[in-house]
Amino acid sequence: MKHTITNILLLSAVAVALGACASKKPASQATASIEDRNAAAASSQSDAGKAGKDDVVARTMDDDGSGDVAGAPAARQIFFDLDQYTIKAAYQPVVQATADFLKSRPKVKLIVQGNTDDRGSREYNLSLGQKRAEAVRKALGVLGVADDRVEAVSFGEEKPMAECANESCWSKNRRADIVYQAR
Amino acid sequence: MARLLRSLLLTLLCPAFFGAVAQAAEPLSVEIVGAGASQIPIAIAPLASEPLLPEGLSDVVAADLNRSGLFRLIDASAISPRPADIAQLNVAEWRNRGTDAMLIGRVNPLPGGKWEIQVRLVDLAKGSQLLGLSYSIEGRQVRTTAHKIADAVFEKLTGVPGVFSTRIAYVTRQAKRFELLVADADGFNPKPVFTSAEPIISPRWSPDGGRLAYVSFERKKPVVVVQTLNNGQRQVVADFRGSNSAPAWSPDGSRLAVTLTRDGSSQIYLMPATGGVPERLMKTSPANDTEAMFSADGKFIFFTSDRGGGPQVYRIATNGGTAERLTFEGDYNVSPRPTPDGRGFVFIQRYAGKFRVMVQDLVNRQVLPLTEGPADESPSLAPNGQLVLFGRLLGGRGELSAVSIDGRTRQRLSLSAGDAREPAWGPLGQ
Repeated sequence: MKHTITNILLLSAVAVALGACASKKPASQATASIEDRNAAAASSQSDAGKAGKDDVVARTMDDDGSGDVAGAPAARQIFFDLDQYTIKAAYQPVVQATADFLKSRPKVKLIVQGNTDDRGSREYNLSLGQKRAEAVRKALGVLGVADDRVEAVSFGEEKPMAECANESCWSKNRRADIVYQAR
Repeated sequence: MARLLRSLLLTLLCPAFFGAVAQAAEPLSVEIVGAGASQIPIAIAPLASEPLLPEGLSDVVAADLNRSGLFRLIDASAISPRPADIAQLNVAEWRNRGTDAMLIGRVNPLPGGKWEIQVRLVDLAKGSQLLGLSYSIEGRQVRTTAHKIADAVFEKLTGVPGVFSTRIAYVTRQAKRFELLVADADGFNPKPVFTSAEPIISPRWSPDGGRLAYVSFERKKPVVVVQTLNNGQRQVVADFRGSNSAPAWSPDGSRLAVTLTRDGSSQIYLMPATGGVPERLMKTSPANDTEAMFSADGKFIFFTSDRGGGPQVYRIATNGGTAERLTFEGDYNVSPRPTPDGRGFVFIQRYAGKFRVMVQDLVNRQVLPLTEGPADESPSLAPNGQLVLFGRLLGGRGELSAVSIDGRTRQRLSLSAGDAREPAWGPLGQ
């Protein structure tokens, strides 16, 4: 059984229309006590130390952009199967090219960003994206890339490549992105 | 916009169309599912001289009580004359209409553009006063005062503190713009707290309501920020190598539990809320641990872990020991939120491919679904434990919803533009 507020109020309006309007006055209780809540009401919006409702201050953060590195390999994405965190053989060349480039450019660093599809908990997905990023970081380590040159981070489900509620999008979002750091 | 519609509503106070107009004006539309016999019938009469106020007060009280699901409103909007005290109220008539309690009162203009609001809650069975309250307010305090009155009525009649004066935080996305907002519990007065071109998730209120911890991707990776609401001051408290996420406040507000990946996998750490050195909670955890949340007494930390294969809910004593697995039904149980009374926890379960809000009793282990999904997430309990606010995906758009802890009452908070997600209910007593 469902009531919307509209139904309730319309039914109530009908009830009022049908109801009697007479108002008789019982004699008792005319002098019942009343509690003064002045202080509580007055302080509700002006209590500076307690973040009153008018005291919220907005901040804006600009997109700082990210750099790129000339000559870096073009293939920078590794896709994963559902609930999988191991790098498929098809993407081994991407890892190899990345490792080779890093060895040829000792000053370049990179970030591996893990991603997931949007089903389930955002925070848990963050940890799953981290597992994908970490898998790529470890694979680079196996190929001789020093640990401190690769940072594995996760975007979880927050940075989808494709947005729809079926596998055609989900498969694009289960990925790790390689981002070179220009410095 | 809401304010504009509201003043429009005041000029159109025709009872027959009140419902339809109210729905357009309120950002929150109420849908009651399976209303039970336990609802308290109550009439909220318009106050004598209430039209003197710049906006409606009694209708806000009525909307608050209605939204809680614990009351059945008996319409009194057309009562004439408007009773200012019990002597002017036909107690027998209203008792005969099936009303147990009635709120009446008056507005008195004061010098300096202020008003005195007097309300009385009447027990119609006894014809006696249950509550008498008086407020001296300015025009901008009408809604705030209405929420305080609703809180007092709620507590008087149910024995549980009302949460109508509390605030909520949530995140909206419009194209590539993310905004963290704070609003009244009924969705009115939304105010931006932080705006970014990068995602914002997991806002969490400090126990005193003065700060929000949240996860921001502003540094091209997730970092944990603590922002003070009354001056906008922001501090990145966790920006360690890897990802930083899932902040949770200790009940005394001094510490944060966070998830860091500096050791490779996702692990829970405790650190000062003002920043500092994180200490790992479980030195030997074999898998991914995240979504920490302190129990109300601070003795336990509830969390999600995939140490058993799929994600399940566990808890561990805050000062160490062995983690105890709490969920066993199904292969995906996440996002635990302990209830304020310590009796259980709310969480998200995947069941037949649908994500739904669940509640589990810690004493008898009973597990009950509160929603049917299909894409419900990020539950947040009201500070009185009576309602669970959560995010749900509808046709690719997020919206906020709330369900009572017994699953009987449902409400939707729909926004005019963009999508809303990641709700967090603020504490009592702000």
